Amino acid sequence: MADLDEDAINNSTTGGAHADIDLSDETQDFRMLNNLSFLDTANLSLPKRGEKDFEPNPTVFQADILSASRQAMHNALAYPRLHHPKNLLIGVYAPNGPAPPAISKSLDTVAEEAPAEKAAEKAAPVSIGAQVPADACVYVTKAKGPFFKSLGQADRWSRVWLLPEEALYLLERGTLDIRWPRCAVGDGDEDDIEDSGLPMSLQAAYACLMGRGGLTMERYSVFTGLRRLGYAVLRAPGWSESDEEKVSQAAAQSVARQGPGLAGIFSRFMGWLCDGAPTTAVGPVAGLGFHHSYDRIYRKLSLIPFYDPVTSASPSPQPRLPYAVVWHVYKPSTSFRKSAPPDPDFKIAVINARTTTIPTVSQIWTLLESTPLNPPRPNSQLYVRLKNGYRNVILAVVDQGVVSYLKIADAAFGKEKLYAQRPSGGNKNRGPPRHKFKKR
Amino acid sequence: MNSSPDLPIPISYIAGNYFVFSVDAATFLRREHHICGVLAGTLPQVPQQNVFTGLPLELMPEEARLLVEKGVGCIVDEVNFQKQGMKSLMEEDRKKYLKELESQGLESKQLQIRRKERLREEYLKKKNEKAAAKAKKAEEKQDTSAAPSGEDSVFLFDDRQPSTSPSHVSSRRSSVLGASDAMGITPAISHPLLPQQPPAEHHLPLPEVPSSYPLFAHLHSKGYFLSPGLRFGCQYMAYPGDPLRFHSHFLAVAAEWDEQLDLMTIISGGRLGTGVKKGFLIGGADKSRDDSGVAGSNVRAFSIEWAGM
Amino acid sequence: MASQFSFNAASAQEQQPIPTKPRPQRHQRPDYRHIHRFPLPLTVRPLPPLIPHNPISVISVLLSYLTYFIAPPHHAIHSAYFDSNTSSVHVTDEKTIRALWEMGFFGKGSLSRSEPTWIEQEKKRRGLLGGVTLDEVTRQRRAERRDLKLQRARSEKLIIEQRLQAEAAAREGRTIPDPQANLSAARATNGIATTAEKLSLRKAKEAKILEAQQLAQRDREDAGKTVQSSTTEDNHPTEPTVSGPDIIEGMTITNEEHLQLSNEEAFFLVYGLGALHIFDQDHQTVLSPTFLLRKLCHHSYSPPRDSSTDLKTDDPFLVSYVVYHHFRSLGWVVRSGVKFGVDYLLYNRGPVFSHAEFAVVVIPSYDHPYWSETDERKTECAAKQARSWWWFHCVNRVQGQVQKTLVVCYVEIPPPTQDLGATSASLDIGALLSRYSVRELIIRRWIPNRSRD
Repeated sequence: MADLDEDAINNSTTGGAHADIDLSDETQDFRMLNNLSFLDTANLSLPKRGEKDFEPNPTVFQADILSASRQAMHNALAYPRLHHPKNLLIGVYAPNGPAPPAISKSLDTVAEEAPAEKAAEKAAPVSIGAQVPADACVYVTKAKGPFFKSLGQADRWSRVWLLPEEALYLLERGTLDIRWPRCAVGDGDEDDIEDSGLPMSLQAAYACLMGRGGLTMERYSVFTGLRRLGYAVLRAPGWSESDEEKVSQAAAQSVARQGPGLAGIFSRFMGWLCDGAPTTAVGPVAGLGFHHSYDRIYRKLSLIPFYDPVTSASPSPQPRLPYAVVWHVYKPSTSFRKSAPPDPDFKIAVINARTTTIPTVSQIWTLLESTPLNPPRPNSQLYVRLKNGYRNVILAVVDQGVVSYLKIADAAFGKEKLYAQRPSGGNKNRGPPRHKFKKR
Repeated sequence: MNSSPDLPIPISYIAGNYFVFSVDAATFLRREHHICGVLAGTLPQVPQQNVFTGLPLELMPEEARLLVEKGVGCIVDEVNFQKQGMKSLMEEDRKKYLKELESQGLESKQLQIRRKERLREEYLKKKNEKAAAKAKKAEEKQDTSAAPSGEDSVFLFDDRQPSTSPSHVSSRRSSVLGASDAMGITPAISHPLLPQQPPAEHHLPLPEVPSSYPLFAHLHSKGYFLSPGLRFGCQYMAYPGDPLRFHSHFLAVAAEWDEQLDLMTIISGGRLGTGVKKGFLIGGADKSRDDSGVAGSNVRAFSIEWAGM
Repeated sequence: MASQFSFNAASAQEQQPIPTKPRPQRHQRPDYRHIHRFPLPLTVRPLPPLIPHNPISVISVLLSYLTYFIAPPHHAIHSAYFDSNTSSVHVTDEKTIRALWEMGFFGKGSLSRSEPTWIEQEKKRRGLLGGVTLDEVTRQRRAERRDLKLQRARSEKLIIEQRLQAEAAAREGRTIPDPQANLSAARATNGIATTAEKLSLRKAKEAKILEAQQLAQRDREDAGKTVQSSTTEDNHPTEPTVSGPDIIEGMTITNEEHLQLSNEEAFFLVYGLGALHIFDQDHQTVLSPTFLLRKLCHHSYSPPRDSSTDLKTDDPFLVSYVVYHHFRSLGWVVRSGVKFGVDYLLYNRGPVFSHAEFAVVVIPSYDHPYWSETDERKTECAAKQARSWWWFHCVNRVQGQVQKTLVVCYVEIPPPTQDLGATSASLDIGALLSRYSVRELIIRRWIPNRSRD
């Protein structure tokens, strides 16, 4: 009967495991690229996987299939990024960040453009448009198309500035042609960011844009992975931590503990009155006398303080990287305006699996406390309440380009007294009693 | 596809990561050296999915290191190479390069027009045939279910180019194309604008690798293809052949030779492996044994299976 | 006893692999709700309701107090002993074993996978009882699976060999009948799927079932001729006398099984509930809770620490006990999760009622400023709480395979105090435990492809 748990394994090979199948987990046969229905996993309850062999054998047959798969892969990877001349979208790389166009330069004040003040200008891009982030480094003069609904910010001259991840993503998917600026190819002044006419290769774009303004490959992998699925992805405030936020966190060490509570203490006192043997020092905690109810025994046993996500109002320090939300993610269905983005559907922190270990209590709770309280609905089922938790966040753990997402929620088991739940009717229910009016 | 690029293959080091941008190099490394990396980029022809991804190929530091040690690859400081390479470009080279791109663009344009015309003809032919067949046997409906899927796959590749002009417009136009008709091209690699082999001043030393490197090198030397295993709960997935064709055999985890292993780790690893019909493998380098200078030659590995007695 | 036997058989029926279509006579499922009606091995006597303005109720309450005072109810305290060699606690008394198992699912049979059922299994094995035991079913299932695998491997090998022959023949210009034609009619022939398609496990299974049915058919025919039942055939050949229905009393078999309590369970029964006395190895002295705590802490290292060692607030036993006590005090049935690579499994009411939904991993946390006072201490603590991401994913994947939800339970380790010293006589266990605190995280895989709506 404890083997019930064992059997779940065997069942899972036929049933529940499908929920876990993600085609992007493993290398798929590129010959399937031709097969649209193969890719359309969203509409399939049971994704098909390409047939694979267990191990190499000396047959020509197998060698031919492998060679065909590799050829298909090669062809897919060699596919060029072409732009129809009619709707060629051109961006220009601005190595020093947002700057006004050349024409306006002569018109604008001279003092502002002194080369020595370049740094100051970068820090305060007000001069070109309040919305343009300082990390932006590619501008598009004639921005059109659906992508700019969720990408880029326009400046005063109606050029749209792109952040490095946005520009790189658009180039990668064959939507944007990024040009070298004149200054980078040895033409013009050091801040001449007019189009030199030379297209940037994918290789050059990676070299110029990756690593800029806090864009790590891990963050970028998460960004593109989600964009490819249709999510809108924006940088979150936790992207970079300013120096003042780095102030030692050790000071804010007030572990909010939630003991048995006043009621618990009172009941313990009552228990003492009734049973006369209150001693938790050497036990038994349940008392030596006779017991009036199991609930009362359980209440007396409640000795271990637990964390209460609702009442513990710690000063909540700023989350520190990498345990900070860096991406705000919006479902494709969420109506989204980039000028006033709504509350995100998901908040994601990006973790490098190779350089970090799993979070410590202070790391994960500072991160959780930076997210809004999302308590479980009180009338939902116990297991649903526990799994919902009070706050949640998604960790994207990245191992060399492979992203693994974990949804983390604080459960607060201590707030759910299982012993006080109504005993379930059936013998084999997986959970405690379900509410009758489930379907509404 | 079967071409062999010049060695050593430049491996771009950018912001702490190792990349390969050339498709020939990527195919070659996979075929000849069992190095798969992870395709980190978006495929321009099917950009809205994650099942098939494209260049660049992101290499694990272990893979980069192994290639350098074998003399197959060299590490290039890509950021500086690009910056300085572009700055020192000659006016003539630029013009030549642009000219080349333009002629390539024209070529692809012509190719596209021809393909579209052909497709259109085929499509019309099919349509006519279908209509005829339909008229003949209105009750036979099964052919309609089979035909569209074939068409979809064709259009996927030929019509995905950003194109506002419907095919019949271009086909009606004369086949003489001017420079303004050339397709814009975003090249994948910077060659031939920049030299294929960066000068030595941009080369970097051996990549730093994690302590699991000996196990990686050991399994690789035994013919296994390795890929990052985090999603599956291990350090490396070990495949008996190209992962395109074969399922993995082992979930591999490295340990130090005299490291104390938590029994629970072995239990969950064994359990995990057996649950997905793979072996859980732990291995490490015995530093007391001579590795004769070859990484991984003093490694021993153990496979753990959950017996479930 | 009888109810237990039938219970076993019933669950054996449940476990049987799907193929047996015509279900044989279904055994009565035991009334678990009755057997396990007490959640803890403590008896409860509800007080009569007290209604303040009703003098009779007051009197009745007082009266019941008086009765309990004059004649205190017999309080059953069970006993067990601690074995230093194995660092574990054992119960040998049959009644205690049943009581601890039935009331709160404490312990594990030393010869069984969970509930101590060795004696029944042994009787069945010797043919004294009808039906099959759970372990037999499992064993049979595994044997079947192994057979299927071998069968599949053989047919795969055959396919490859035939293909190699065909290819060699093709090279030499000979023609050979297509090997595919006489292999499996079910082979897919469309372009991409034309691989060395495996004889699927399912197909092999189907073949196996067919075979089994034919065998059963033959058996039934045989049964008409021979009277011997199939169970007696399995009898130990050296014990021919045991066969036959006469000796079913089976008095020759002595129960050699113990109930082994985990150290956390044992301490909870002693300190938390007062329902157990644990004797030292000599079976003479009862270990006091304080003494027991120290002993169990020392034995939570391998090899065990000397009894003169001071306690540490992060002794593995203390850390895991804090979590055990926490979940028990909330009403969960807490059992070892070692099978799934975790510390605990949480059952609602008990393993006979449902699967464990939650699998708990315990991680010590050293957030108290004390632990970062010196650099040395800081490094040491960082090492103690560090867990690699691949391990974490491994554990999470295992729970996914068995459809459980992973819970990470962090235990905040308090700084040490005076009374933990080996020479200290006063150790307030309650005060010590209440200086810890726990926090739980729920971990699930998030699949972006399925979260788009």
